[in-house]
Amino acid sequence: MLLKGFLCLVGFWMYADSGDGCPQFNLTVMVDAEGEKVTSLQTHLVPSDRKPSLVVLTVRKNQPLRVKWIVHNVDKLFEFSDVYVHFFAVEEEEIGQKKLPDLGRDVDHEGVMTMDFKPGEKAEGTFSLTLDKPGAYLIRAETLYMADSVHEHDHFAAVEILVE
Amino acid sequence: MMTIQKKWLSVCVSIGMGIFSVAQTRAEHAQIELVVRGKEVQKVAIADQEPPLGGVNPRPLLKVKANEPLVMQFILTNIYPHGVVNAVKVRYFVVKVKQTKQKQVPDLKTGVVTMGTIVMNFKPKCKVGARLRFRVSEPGVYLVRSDTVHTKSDHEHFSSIDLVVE
Repeated sequence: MLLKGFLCLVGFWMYADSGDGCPQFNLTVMVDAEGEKVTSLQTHLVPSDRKPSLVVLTVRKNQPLRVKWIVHNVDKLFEFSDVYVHFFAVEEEEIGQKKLPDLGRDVDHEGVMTMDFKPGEKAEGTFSLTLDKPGAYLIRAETLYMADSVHEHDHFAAVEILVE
Repeated sequence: MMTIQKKWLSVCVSIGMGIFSVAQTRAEHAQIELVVRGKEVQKVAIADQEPPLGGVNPRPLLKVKANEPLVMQFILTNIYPHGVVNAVKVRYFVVKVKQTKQKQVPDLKTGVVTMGTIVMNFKPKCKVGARLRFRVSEPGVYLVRSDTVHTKSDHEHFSSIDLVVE
Protein backbone atom coordinates (compact mmCIF):
# COMPACT_ATOMS: atom_id res chain seq x y z
CA MET A 1 0.00 0.00 0.00
CA LEU A 2 2.83 2.35 0.97
CA LEU A 3 4.77 1.39 -2.15
CA LYS A 4 1.68 2.01 -4.30
CA GLY A 5 1.27 5.47 -2.83
CA PHE A 6 4.95 6.25 -3.39
CA LEU A 7 4.78 5.14 -7.01
CA CYS A 8 1.67 7.29 -7.55
CA LEU A 9 3.50 10.30 -6.11
CA VAL A 10 6.56 9.71 -8.29
CA GLY A 11 4.32 9.23 -11.31
CA PHE A 12 2.43 12.45 -10.62
CA TRP A 13 5.71 14.37 -10.16
CA MET A 14 7.10 13.04 -13.44
CA TYR A 15 3.88 13.84 -15.28
CA ALA A 16 3.54 17.31 -13.82
CA ASP A 17 7.12 18.51 -14.12
CA SER A 18 9.62 17.09 -16.51
CA GLY A 19 12.20 19.74 -15.67
CA ASP A 20 13.26 22.62 -17.91
CA GLY A 21 15.70 20.80 -20.10
CA CYS A 22 13.88 17.50 -20.59
CA PRO A 23 10.61 17.87 -22.47
CA GLN A 24 8.36 14.81 -22.74
CA PHE A 25 7.52 15.81 -26.27
CA ASN A 26 10.12 16.23 -28.98
CA LEU A 27 8.98 18.58 -31.72
CA THR A 28 10.94 19.02 -34.92
CA VAL A 29 10.49 21.35 -37.87
CA MET A 30 12.49 20.82 -41.02
CA VAL A 31 12.52 23.01 -44.11
CA ASP A 32 13.93 21.94 -47.45
CA ALA A 33 14.56 24.70 -49.99
CA GLU A 34 15.46 22.78 -53.14
CA GLY A 35 18.15 20.76 -51.40
CA GLU A 36 19.24 23.28 -48.77
CA LYS A 37 17.84 21.88 -45.53
CA VAL A 38 17.57 23.25 -42.02
CA THR A 39 16.19 21.63 -38.87
CA SER A 40 14.93 23.31 -35.70
CA LEU A 41 17.58 23.37 -32.98
CA GLN A 42 15.53 22.04 -30.07
CA THR A 43 12.12 21.66 -28.48
CA HIS A 44 11.28 24.76 -26.45
CA LEU A 45 8.96 24.86 -23.48
CA VAL A 46 6.18 27.40 -22.94
CA PRO A 47 6.16 29.19 -20.56
CA SER A 48 9.90 29.68 -20.25
CA ASP A 49 12.18 32.53 -19.24
CA ARG A 50 14.68 31.65 -21.92
CA LYS A 51 14.56 33.42 -25.27
CA PRO A 52 14.42 30.73 -27.91
CA SER A 53 17.13 30.88 -30.54
CA LEU A 54 15.81 29.77 -33.88
CA VAL A 55 17.65 28.68 -36.97
CA VAL A 56 17.18 31.01 -39.95
CA LEU A 57 17.02 29.94 -43.58
CA THR A 58 17.42 32.54 -46.34
CA VAL A 59 15.53 31.84 -49.56
CA ARG A 60 14.49 33.60 -52.74
CA LYS A 61 11.01 34.92 -53.40
CA ASN A 62 8.81 32.16 -54.91
CA GLN A 63 11.39 29.48 -54.15
CA PRO A 64 9.49 26.22 -53.48
CA LEU A 65 9.85 25.07 -49.88
CA ARG A 66 8.93 21.75 -48.32
CA VAL A 67 8.18 21.74 -44.60
CA LYS A 68 8.14 18.66 -42.40
CA TRP A 69 7.06 18.60 -38.75
CA ILE A 70 7.18 15.78 -36.22
CA VAL A 71 5.62 15.55 -32.77
CA HIS A 72 6.94 12.66 -30.70
CA ASN A 73 5.99 11.58 -27.18
CA VAL A 74 9.39 10.51 -25.90
CA ASP A 75 8.12 9.73 -22.41
CA LYS A 76 8.50 6.05 -21.62
CA LEU A 77 5.57 5.86 -19.19
CA PHE A 78 2.82 8.30 -19.89
CA GLU A 79 0.08 8.58 -22.42
CA PHE A 80 -1.15 12.09 -23.14
CA SER A 81 -4.78 12.26 -24.17
CA ASP A 82 -6.39 14.68 -26.59
CA VAL A 83 -3.22 16.60 -27.35
CA TYR A 84 -3.75 19.53 -29.72
CA VAL A 85 -0.99 19.83 -32.29
CA HIS A 86 -0.86 23.13 -34.15
CA PHE A 87 1.45 24.08 -37.01
CA PHE A 88 1.68 27.22 -39.09
CA ALA A 89 3.71 29.41 -41.44
CA VAL A 90 3.11 33.13 -41.06
CA GLU A 91 4.82 36.43 -41.83
CA GLU A 92 6.43 38.22 -38.89
CA GLU A 93 7.78 41.74 -38.53
CA GLU A 94 11.42 40.76 -38.18
CA ILE A 95 13.69 37.79 -37.68
CA GLY A 96 14.05 36.95 -34.00
CA GLN A 97 10.90 38.74 -32.84
CA LYS A 98 9.66 37.65 -29.44
CA LYS A 99 5.95 38.18 -29.94
CA LEU A 100 4.01 35.57 -31.85
CA PRO A 101 2.57 37.03 -35.07
CA ASP A 102 -1.18 37.32 -35.43
CA LEU A 103 -2.64 34.19 -37.00
CA GLY A 104 -5.45 35.99 -38.79
CA ARG A 105 -6.44 36.01 -42.42
CA ASP A 106 -2.88 36.45 -43.62
CA VAL A 107 -1.53 33.17 -42.30
CA ASP A 108 0.11 31.32 -45.18
CA HIS A 109 -0.47 27.80 -43.91
CA GLU A 110 -2.03 26.60 -40.69
CA GLY A 111 -3.25 23.25 -39.41
CA VAL A 112 -4.43 21.56 -36.25
CA MET A 113 -5.07 17.99 -35.14
CA THR A 114 -5.95 16.15 -31.96
CA MET A 115 -4.52 12.81 -30.93
CA ASP A 116 -3.75 10.58 -27.96
CA PHE A 117 -0.01 10.01 -27.72
CA LYS A 118 0.96 6.71 -26.09
CA PRO A 119 4.60 6.40 -24.96
CA GLY A 120 6.81 6.52 -28.05
CA GLU A 121 4.02 7.48 -30.47
CA LYS A 122 4.39 10.25 -32.99
CA ALA A 123 2.45 12.27 -35.51
CA GLU A 124 3.97 14.01 -38.48
CA GLY A 125 3.13 16.07 -41.47
CA THR A 126 4.51 17.82 -44.52
CA PHE A 127 3.40 20.76 -46.57
CA SER A 128 4.63 22.71 -49.54
CA LEU A 129 5.05 26.44 -49.23
CA THR A 130 5.83 29.22 -51.68
CA LEU A 131 6.41 32.68 -50.23
CA ASP A 132 5.88 35.36 -52.86
CA LYS A 133 6.63 38.41 -50.72
CA PRO A 134 10.07 39.34 -49.31
CA GLY A 135 10.19 39.48 -45.53
CA ALA A 136 10.55 37.40 -42.37
CA TYR A 137 8.43 34.32 -41.76
CA LEU A 138 7.96 31.93 -38.86
CA ILE A 139 7.29 28.21 -39.34
CA ARG A 140 6.31 26.61 -36.08
CA ALA A 141 4.81 23.38 -34.70
CA GLU A 142 3.47 23.40 -31.15
CA THR A 143 1.29 21.65 -28.62
CA LEU A 144 -1.65 23.62 -27.26
CA TYR A 145 -3.51 23.69 -23.94
CA MET A 146 -1.14 21.31 -22.12
CA ALA A 147 0.05 24.28 -20.07
CA ASP A 148 -3.50 24.62 -18.74
CA SER A 149 -3.42 21.04 -17.45
CA VAL A 150 -1.42 19.26 -14.79
CA HIS A 151 1.40 19.11 -17.37
CA GLU A 152 1.92 22.87 -16.86
CA HIS A 153 3.75 23.62 -20.07
CA ASP A 154 3.50 23.40 -23.82
CA HIS A 155 6.17 22.67 -26.38
CA PHE A 156 7.22 24.10 -29.71
CA ALA A 157 9.87 23.94 -32.39
CA ALA A 158 10.37 26.54 -35.08
CA VAL A 159 12.43 27.75 -38.00
CA GLU A 160 12.53 31.29 -39.35
CA ILE A 161 12.65 32.07 -43.04
CA LEU A 162 14.09 35.22 -44.54
CA VAL A 163 12.71 35.78 -48.04
CA GLU A 164 14.89 38.07 -50.15
CA MET B 1 -38.65 -31.16 -40.66
CA MET B 2 -36.68 -29.80 -37.70
CA THR B 3 -33.48 -30.35 -39.61
CA ILE B 4 -34.72 -28.24 -42.55
CA GLN B 5 -35.86 -25.49 -40.16
CA LYS B 6 -32.48 -25.54 -38.43
CA LYS B 7 -30.66 -25.39 -41.77
CA TRP B 8 -32.84 -22.48 -42.91
CA LEU B 9 -32.24 -20.67 -39.63
CA SER B 10 -28.52 -21.20 -39.99
CA VAL B 11 -28.60 -19.80 -43.58
CA CYS B 12 -30.64 -16.77 -42.39
CA VAL B 13 -28.20 -16.12 -39.56
CA SER B 14 -25.25 -16.39 -41.96
CA ILE B 15 -26.86 -13.98 -44.45
CA GLY B 16 -27.77 -11.63 -41.60
CA MET B 17 -24.24 -11.67 -40.28
CA GLY B 18 -22.90 -11.08 -43.77
CA ILE B 19 -25.17 -8.07 -44.30
CA PHE B 20 -24.22 -6.72 -40.86
CA SER B 21 -20.57 -7.18 -41.62
CA VAL B 22 -20.83 -5.44 -45.02
CA ALA B 23 -22.85 -2.62 -43.45
CA GLN B 24 -20.16 -2.19 -40.83
CA THR B 25 -17.32 -2.01 -43.32
CA ARG B 26 -19.27 0.38 -45.54
CA ALA B 27 -20.22 2.64 -42.67
CA GLU B 28 -19.30 6.32 -42.69
CA HIS B 29 -15.95 6.91 -41.07
CA ALA B 30 -15.23 10.54 -41.67
CA GLN B 31 -16.90 13.85 -42.34
CA ILE B 32 -14.81 16.25 -44.39
CA GLU B 33 -15.92 19.79 -45.04
CA LEU B 34 -13.80 21.38 -47.74
CA VAL B 35 -14.01 25.07 -48.62
CA VAL B 36 -12.26 26.97 -51.39
CA ARG B 37 -12.60 30.72 -51.18
CA GLY B 38 -11.78 33.23 -53.91
CA LYS B 39 -12.00 37.02 -53.80
CA GLU B 40 -15.76 37.10 -54.17
CA VAL B 41 -17.02 33.52 -54.27
CA GLN B 42 -16.58 30.32 -52.39
CA LYS B 43 -17.61 26.69 -52.77
CA VAL B 44 -18.13 24.04 -50.11
CA ALA B 45 -17.92 20.28 -50.59
CA ILE B 46 -18.97 17.54 -48.22
CA ALA B 47 -17.54 14.07 -47.75
CA ASP B 48 -17.76 11.40 -50.40
CA GLN B 49 -16.13 8.01 -50.59
CA GLU B 50 -14.23 5.75 -52.97
CA PRO B 51 -14.94 3.22 -54.39
CA PRO B 52 -16.60 3.95 -56.72
CA LEU B 53 -13.79 5.94 -58.31
CA GLY B 54 -14.61 9.62 -58.07
CA GLY B 55 -17.38 9.03 -55.50
CA VAL B 56 -21.07 9.55 -56.04
CA ASN B 57 -21.74 13.17 -55.11
CA PRO B 58 -21.61 15.88 -57.78
CA ARG B 59 -18.40 17.89 -57.42
CA PRO B 60 -18.79 21.66 -56.90
CA LEU B 61 -17.03 23.89 -59.42
CA LEU B 62 -15.41 27.25 -58.68
CA LYS B 63 -14.26 29.67 -61.40
CA VAL B 64 -11.44 32.05 -60.54
CA LYS B 65 -8.90 34.24 -62.29
CA ALA B 66 -5.22 33.38 -62.69
CA ASN B 67 -3.14 34.68 -59.77
CA GLU B 68 -6.25 35.44 -57.72
CA PRO B 69 -5.55 34.93 -53.98
CA LEU B 70 -7.34 31.76 -52.87
CA VAL B 71 -7.84 29.97 -49.57
CA MET B 72 -8.32 26.23 -49.13
CA GLN B 73 -9.65 24.95 -45.83
CA PHE B 74 -10.77 21.53 -44.66
CA ILE B 75 -11.96 20.06 -41.39
CA LEU B 76 -12.11 16.28 -41.04
CA THR B 77 -13.97 14.68 -38.16
CA ASN B 78 -13.45 10.98 -37.55
CA ILE B 79 -16.86 9.46 -36.82
CA TYR B 80 -15.75 5.83 -36.82
CA PRO B 81 -16.76 4.75 -33.30
CA HIS B 82 -15.02 1.36 -33.04
CA GLY B 83 -11.58 2.17 -31.67
CA VAL B 84 -8.32 3.72 -32.78
CA VAL B 85 -6.99 3.41 -36.33
CA ASN B 86 -3.22 3.88 -36.38
CA ALA B 87 -1.12 5.78 -38.90
CA VAL B 88 -3.90 7.21 -41.05
CA LYS B 89 -2.64 9.55 -43.72
CA VAL B 90 -4.66 12.67 -44.47
CA ARG B 91 -3.74 14.45 -47.69
CA TYR B 92 -4.80 17.86 -48.95
CA PHE B 93 -3.74 19.21 -52.29
CA VAL B 94 -4.37 21.26 -55.40
CA VAL B 95 -3.28 19.60 -58.63
CA LYS B 96 -3.76 20.23 -62.33
CA VAL B 97 -6.14 17.83 -64.08
CA LYS B 98 -7.22 17.33 -67.68
CA GLN B 99 -10.89 18.17 -67.24
CA THR B 100 -13.62 18.94 -64.76
CA LYS B 101 -15.36 15.94 -63.12
CA GLN B 102 -12.23 13.87 -63.71
CA LYS B 103 -12.52 10.74 -61.60
CA GLN B 104 -8.90 9.64 -61.51
CA VAL B 105 -6.64 11.55 -59.14
CA PRO B 106 -3.29 12.37 -60.82
CA ASP B 107 -0.14 10.79 -59.36
CA LEU B 108 0.78 14.04 -57.53
CA LYS B 109 4.28 14.04 -58.97
CA THR B 110 3.64 16.78 -61.52
CA GLY B 111 1.21 19.67 -61.71
CA VAL B 112 0.92 20.05 -57.93
CA VAL B 113 0.19 23.64 -56.90
CA THR B 114 0.24 22.94 -53.17
CA MET B 115 0.11 19.84 -51.02
CA GLY B 116 0.13 18.76 -47.40
CA THR B 117 0.01 15.47 -45.52
CA ILE B 118 -0.63 14.53 -41.91
CA VAL B 119 0.03 11.04 -40.52
CA MET B 120 -1.70 10.42 -37.21
CA ASN B 121 -3.72 7.94 -35.15
CA PHE B 122 -7.47 8.35 -35.51
CA LYS B 123 -9.41 8.00 -32.31
CA PRO B 124 -13.19 8.31 -32.33
CA LYS B 125 -14.30 11.95 -32.72
CA CYS B 126 -10.77 13.24 -33.34
CA LYS B 127 -10.42 16.16 -35.72
CA VAL B 128 -7.84 17.39 -38.15
CA GLY B 129 -7.87 20.41 -40.40
CA ALA B 130 -5.80 22.92 -42.28
CA ARG B 131 -6.14 26.30 -43.94
CA LEU B 132 -3.76 27.62 -46.55
CA ARG B 133 -3.38 30.45 -49.00
CA PHE B 134 -2.43 29.78 -52.60
CA ARG B 135 -2.54 31.22 -56.10
CA VAL B 136 -2.67 29.49 -59.46
CA SER B 137 -0.75 31.30 -62.17
CA GLU B 138 -1.50 29.03 -65.12
CA PRO B 139 -5.05 28.87 -66.54
CA GLY B 140 -6.58 25.40 -66.63
CA VAL B 141 -8.58 22.92 -64.60
CA TYR B 142 -7.43 21.97 -61.11
CA LEU B 143 -8.63 19.51 -58.49
CA VAL B 144 -8.77 20.68 -54.88
CA ARG B 145 -9.10 17.67 -52.65
CA SER B 146 -8.69 16.41 -49.10
CA ASP B 147 -8.73 12.65 -48.50
CA THR B 148 -7.75 9.79 -46.24
CA VAL B 149 -5.30 7.00 -47.10
CA HIS B 150 -4.44 3.81 -45.17
CA THR B 151 -7.55 3.68 -42.96
CA LYS B 152 -7.40 -0.13 -43.21
CA SER B 153 -10.95 -0.07 -44.50
CA ASP B 154 -12.41 -1.16 -47.83
CA HIS B 155 -13.02 2.45 -48.74
CA GLU B 156 -11.53 5.90 -48.22
CA HIS B 157 -13.16 9.28 -47.70
CA PHE B 158 -12.56 12.46 -49.60
CA SER B 159 -13.98 15.83 -50.38
CA SER B 160 -13.19 17.68 -53.59
CA ILE B 161 -13.89 20.78 -55.65
CA ASP B 162 -13.06 21.50 -59.29
CA LEU B 163 -11.24 24.77 -59.78
CA VAL B 164 -11.35 26.41 -63.21
CA VAL B 165 -8.68 29.07 -63.57
CA GLU B 166 -9.32 31.54 -66.40
